[in-house]
Amino acid sequence: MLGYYFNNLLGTLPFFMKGLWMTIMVSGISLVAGSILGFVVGITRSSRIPVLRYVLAAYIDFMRGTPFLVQIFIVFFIFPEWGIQMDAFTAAVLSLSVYAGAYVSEIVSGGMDSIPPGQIEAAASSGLSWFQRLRYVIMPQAMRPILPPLVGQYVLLIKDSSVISVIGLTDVTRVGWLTVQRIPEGLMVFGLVGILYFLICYPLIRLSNWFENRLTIQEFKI
Amino acid sequence: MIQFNQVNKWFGKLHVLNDINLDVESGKVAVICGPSGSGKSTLIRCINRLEPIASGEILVDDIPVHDRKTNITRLRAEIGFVFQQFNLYPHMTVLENVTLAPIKVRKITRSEAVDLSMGILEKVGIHDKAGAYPAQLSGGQQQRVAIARGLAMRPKIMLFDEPTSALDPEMINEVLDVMRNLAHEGMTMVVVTHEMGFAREVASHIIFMDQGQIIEKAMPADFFTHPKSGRTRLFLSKILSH
Repeated sequence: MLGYYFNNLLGTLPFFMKGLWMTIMVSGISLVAGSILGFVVGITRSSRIPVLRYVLAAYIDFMRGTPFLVQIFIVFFIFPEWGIQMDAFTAAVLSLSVYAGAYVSEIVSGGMDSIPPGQIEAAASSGLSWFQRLRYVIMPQAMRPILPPLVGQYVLLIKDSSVISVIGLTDVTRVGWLTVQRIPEGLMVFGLVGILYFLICYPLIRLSNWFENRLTIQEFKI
Repeated sequence: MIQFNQVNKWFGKLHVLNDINLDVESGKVAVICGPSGSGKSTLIRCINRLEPIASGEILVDDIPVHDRKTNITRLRAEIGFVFQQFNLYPHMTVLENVTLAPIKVRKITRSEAVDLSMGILEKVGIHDKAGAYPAQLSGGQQQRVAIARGLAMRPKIMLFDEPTSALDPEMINEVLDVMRNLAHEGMTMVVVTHEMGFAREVASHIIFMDQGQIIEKAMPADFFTHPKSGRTRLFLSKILSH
């Protein structure tokens, strides 16, 4: 019986690959957009512009304090009531990017705040502009503490993307739900779903560890 | 060249700069001393607007430093600043530390900047370390690189905020020697320091501060032999007794 189901499951592999592609597309676009948003917000927050600071803090608190499932519901089901209509793919990418951006911005501003103020004062004293200080002095140093948790955040983002199945996008998770209705061998089906996520996430986990180790080794050298 | 007109500043309730009036002429070396917490570091940090002031004005080359219309980035390029903790960029080599601002701010070419910087590094006696990273240098070497970094901008003024206070005793002189040479070349300098030997030898005048006020401003000879104020005498007796 198990062998029969297994053969059936193999038959659905192309379907799984389509789902995997959807997961990769949504996560990939959100990862890039969320990073850009997160860096802009994080840098702005660290430069302590009075009013903007509180607006951004409110955005981050809201995104971190509510479930992603609720956020994507709001974007996909409530926004249309206010006249903002979009297809499921756009809604997924938008909500996932804005969600990830909040976490990325925390990582970025944390990394920037770890740079001693003396570095910024030295750069300012030699006549470097705000952007030059950021570009040549702060960011190159801040990237070292930023990179390991940033890549770790990408892993979380890929796993969180499974929530997009609730608004009807056929990602790996939804392919799993659909398949298990035909092949009632849940462990096998969702085992495959798990393996597919793991295959994307594991290289990133290794990358994050590699950044972390490189960081400690360099600190030892100093 | 540097003028303080009735400058006041508070840190909360602490009156850290109390009605400061001061004039440092071109080519002179002003040494500021005083007990810790007297406001001397704050005073020097106001000259290139690392600290804001509450009232009064500071003029550098007749430009009001704290005026909102002043292009502070451009002004800072003319004023070198040397910190107690060196603050070299740890991710750059010595040469990169020194060439960064000339290339990015002065917009000179990389090869011009390297020539200029190597010349200055030679002057401070550290050109053989051009390819090293700050963490590979001793404190005295790092501070000389920091001075070279300031000089590479060809500044009109050099400010030193306790440049030898973080150094091991045997490294103090190599830094003071560089500063002595600079003074002899006619650089306008403001130096916050506890090195009274250096002050006696190099200073055009010595400014004694206590509790946010300038208590006394005198030529070195008078300052050490005939201090006018009781507080100055007390300070000198504490630091010169050993």
